Amino acid sequence: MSALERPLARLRPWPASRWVGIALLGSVALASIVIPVVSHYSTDAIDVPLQAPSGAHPFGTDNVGRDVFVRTFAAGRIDLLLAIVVVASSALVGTLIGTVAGASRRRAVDALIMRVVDAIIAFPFIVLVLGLVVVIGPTVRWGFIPAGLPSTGLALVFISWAFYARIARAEALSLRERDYVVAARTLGYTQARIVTRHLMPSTIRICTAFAVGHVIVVVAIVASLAFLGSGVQPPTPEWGSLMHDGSSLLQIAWWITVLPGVVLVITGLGLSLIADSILRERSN
Amino acid sequence: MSAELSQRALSGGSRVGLAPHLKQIGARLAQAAATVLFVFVIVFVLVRVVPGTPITGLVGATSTEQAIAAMNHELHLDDPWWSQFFHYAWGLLHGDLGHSIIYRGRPVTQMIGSQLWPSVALILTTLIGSAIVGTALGLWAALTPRRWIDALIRGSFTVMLATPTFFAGLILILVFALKLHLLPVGGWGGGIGNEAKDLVLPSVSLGLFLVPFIARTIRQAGLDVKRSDFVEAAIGRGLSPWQVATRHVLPNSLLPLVTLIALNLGTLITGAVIVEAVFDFPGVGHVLVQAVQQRDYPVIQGVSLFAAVCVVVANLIADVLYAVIDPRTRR
Amino acid sequence: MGASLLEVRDLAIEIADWEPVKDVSFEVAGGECVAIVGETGSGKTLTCRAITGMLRRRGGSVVRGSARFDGIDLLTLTERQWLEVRGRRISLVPQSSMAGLDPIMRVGRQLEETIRFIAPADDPRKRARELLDHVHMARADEVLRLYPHELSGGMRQRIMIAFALVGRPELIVADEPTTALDVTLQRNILRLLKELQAETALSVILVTHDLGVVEEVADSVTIMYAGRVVEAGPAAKVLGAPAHPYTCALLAARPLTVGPGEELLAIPGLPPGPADRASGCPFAPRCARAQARCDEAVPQLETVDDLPGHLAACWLARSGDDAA
Repeated sequence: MSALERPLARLRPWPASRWVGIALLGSVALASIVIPVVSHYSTDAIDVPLQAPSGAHPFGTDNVGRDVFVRTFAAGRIDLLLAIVVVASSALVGTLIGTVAGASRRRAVDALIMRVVDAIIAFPFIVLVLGLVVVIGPTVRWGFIPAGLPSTGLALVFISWAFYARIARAEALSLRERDYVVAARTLGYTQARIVTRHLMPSTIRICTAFAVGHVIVVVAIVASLAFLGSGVQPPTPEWGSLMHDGSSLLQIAWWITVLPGVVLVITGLGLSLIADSILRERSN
Repeated sequence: MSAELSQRALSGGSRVGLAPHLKQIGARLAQAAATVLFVFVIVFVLVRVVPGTPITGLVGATSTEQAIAAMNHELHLDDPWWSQFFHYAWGLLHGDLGHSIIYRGRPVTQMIGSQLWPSVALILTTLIGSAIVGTALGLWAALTPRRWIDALIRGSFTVMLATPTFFAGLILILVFALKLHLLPVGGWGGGIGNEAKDLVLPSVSLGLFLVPFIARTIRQAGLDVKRSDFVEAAIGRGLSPWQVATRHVLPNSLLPLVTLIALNLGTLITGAVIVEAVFDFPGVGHVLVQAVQQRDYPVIQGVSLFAAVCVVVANLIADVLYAVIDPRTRR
Repeated sequence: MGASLLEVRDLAIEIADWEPVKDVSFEVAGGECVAIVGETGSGKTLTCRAITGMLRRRGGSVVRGSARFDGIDLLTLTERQWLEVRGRRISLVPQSSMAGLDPIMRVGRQLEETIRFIAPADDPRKRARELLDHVHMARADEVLRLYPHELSGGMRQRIMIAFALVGRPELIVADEPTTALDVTLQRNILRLLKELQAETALSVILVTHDLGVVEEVADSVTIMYAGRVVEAGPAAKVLGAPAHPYTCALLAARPLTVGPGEELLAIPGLPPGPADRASGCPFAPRCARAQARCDEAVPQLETVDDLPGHLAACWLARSGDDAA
């Protein structure tokens, strides 16, 4: 790509699918911020139980009479925030470790890190997450952070960094023989400077493409964990635990399960459209 | 002419050239063994980095100091860590994954073994079903000139990727079990006929993410093969479209399927754990979730190890299988 | 040489609003070898595809002209009807047939399957071995057990010709069968084609960009430039006394004709692409002897020097100038 084409490529308008994705994700995020504030009901206010969706309760009420609509969007705050924190921290840690491994001139360091990465990735994701949650303690709370949030977040970061490390290492390996890196080394720059100044910019760019797709996985796993009872603990509203509460009442009160689920799918759809359009732009 | 028949062709051919082949497999085996070792180390370390011992939170406040000490001793938790490590490793080498704390003395291998079959049945049904449906869809999309099939596959891929497995399962229960009364809500057992019915909804919800994955991969492979010179040549020498599709396009498109399935086995097991919880399905995932709720750490340890080793072995088999199917990798 | 087996008249092909082949005519008699010569992009491959019914796979369509093969109008055949013709009466050895074998199937199985599908034999394995003997493949039994990647380029090319022979066709269309091979192998393959043709009264259309190849095997030659036939006639006449400046230039650009110390003459410039829509002779911009009238109108093919069968499309050849 010539120097002239680059800025032009950046100016190229985004595909429609990305705008749709942004709109879907944005509306869920906006509703999650606004609705718990402006609603007549709080997340634990009690009305008549098991009311079907109506004007007063758009998503109905649950088995103790709490408004599902407010709880769904209050849950959105927790889920989205947790997903962002998990993805950002594992991306940062993983990219750094992977770049260092790839840039390292000691084969043993690289081999050791990569064996650990291989081993972590070998576990079926949820199996290791569940194990870690038990180790950390599923009911641990930090100050105002509700129970289950720290264990879920930490467990996910403990595993997710490995994916970024693998991607970043591959990129760093391909970069380390490039002229500008070799030149930097010949000039006597320290390893730390080469990693942070010359390699990280590239590895971070590669990893951000993966990160958007990763958010989808994290949102799904956070909800799944809570659904299994090992994630964010009640009474904190969370998508998976809302749906778990409703699952035993599926026959008589489908809305408790289905409507939060629809919001969850809309979120995933938005993210997936954005991720897809980024990936396709990269591959072109 | 005999110069044309190059030496490499005949000596490096399919009969004599086994030695480098074995070497490759050996290196791959060593890598898998190293991964298994690290898997073991991770599991071992994680359980022991918790402050106190794993049973501290378990025995409860009412237990006496002696009771805790006795339990710790029984489980070798008062030994130094290296002793525990070798004790556990030694057991593993003899096929012993330890014993449950909650179900006193019950071997973990037995707990896995007694509930392995439903899980295996679930995963196999899902794999076979998704492979057939996904391949058919993918080849159809690659071979038909109609664009909407393409759009349909891409659209469903996006939606399926966005739908968590447990939600898909719940929707299927709501529609096919609760409203239409076509299939059971969940559970397992009561003869092969009932078990087959019990498998349908769990397999479908588990396969929903896999089918678009397979369809998309097969479609791409099919398009590549369709444009390839050898398909062109086959048409030029007079083979019919059907003959070309079944003899050349299909086998060549299936090559990536082996790798795809092996790479997704971990995801599939993750899905199976969740599906088993949704459908109250008595498999290994059920054992794990229960052990997590009861903090039965030897069981968690054993099941995680077992699952990870399954994935490593599956990847190994896929690599070997690929080398067997594709003669080009047998250089 | 018998009567005309294939007769192509004024064939024009369109792809995406462009006519890469315009008014191409040639004839192939029974047992004759016709060479179609031209640079990349001259339309020779598309012409081959049109007469083997494989144009649509590349998104092209025939807009004018006719192609009659033994009384059949090839251009109106349906896909289903083509199955009766392709491989059985006309075989295509496609371009880049080096990659023309299924990589995951042993050569023997591919050959036997083709035999079963196209011309069933009592013992397909025996017939496969016969075919390999026919194309002078040494150690046929061993070769049948190999995978394509275990074969050398020359072996693969021989096998591709064996494939084309399965249905005992009357016409083989060989699209640049030797391009990827070294010079010695090219000779071997061409001699093989020539020999097969003499043995079995087979007709061959040999497409190439190499005039050296033509001398050896072709009975007649059709030279194409920018989608048109610029010169045609018996091989000895066209190569011995070329009438079109393009033919002359091609002959001068042959490495084998250049002695030590002499300059190898490349033709300056490039053939016209889709964007060029000049009204005159398409070769005029590159022609050393172009005159004013060359830019005005396209010259039609006409007999050169009253020699029957030797045609050229050049204003200069027409006026009796000695082009060579």
